[in-house]
Amino acid sequence: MKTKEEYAQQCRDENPEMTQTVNGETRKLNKKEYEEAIEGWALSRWYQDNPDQIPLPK
Amino acid sequence: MANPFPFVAGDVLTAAELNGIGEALTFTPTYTNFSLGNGTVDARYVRVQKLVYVSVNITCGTTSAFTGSKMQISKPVTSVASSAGNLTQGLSNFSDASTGAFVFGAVRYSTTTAQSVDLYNSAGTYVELAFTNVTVPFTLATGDVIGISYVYEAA
Repeated sequence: MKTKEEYAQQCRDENPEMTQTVNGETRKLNKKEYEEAIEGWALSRWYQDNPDQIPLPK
Repeated sequence: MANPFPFVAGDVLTAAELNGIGEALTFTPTYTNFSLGNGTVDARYVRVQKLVYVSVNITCGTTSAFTGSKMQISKPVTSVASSAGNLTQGLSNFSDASTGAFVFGAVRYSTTTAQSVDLYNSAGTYVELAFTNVTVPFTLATGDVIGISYVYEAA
């Protein structure tokens, strides 16, 4: 199983940049948004490997 | 034009203001326990005085993902507080592009600024609500669609 950092690096390698379309307007994610998207995807994949680590919903 | 509310005493209403009542507007949602990544979202709402109807259509990209349990999405306009705290205010649907599966659910009040996007669990005698999770109803992938629509009372 990979670490969160390894999943994040995999996502960076596969997506050197990202675009997002909101209400018909497509734009490139800025650095902060890009890193948040990387972190989100990596966390999702890590939680799939470690479902007992998912926080209970509030 | 933007919704013209609130009118105040002495206002002279223009045709544009009257025509703006109920006009669909776009908004940019924010999310909890969901990341849009390189996906696409179309988010619209219609407001008539205190009544707000919202329609959101999310098409996932390769990096879209549920990032925890219980997806929540922001409201375009702050709502009144719900005393019950869990009132169902709309419907959700989750479409899996790879299998063709179509899962239904409910959209519920979470806070005055966010809705919970839940799904139905039909495993028991009675249908119950369940929360989204990183693999529930399925792991999101390119082309999967999340549809959200609900109605509420603005603050």
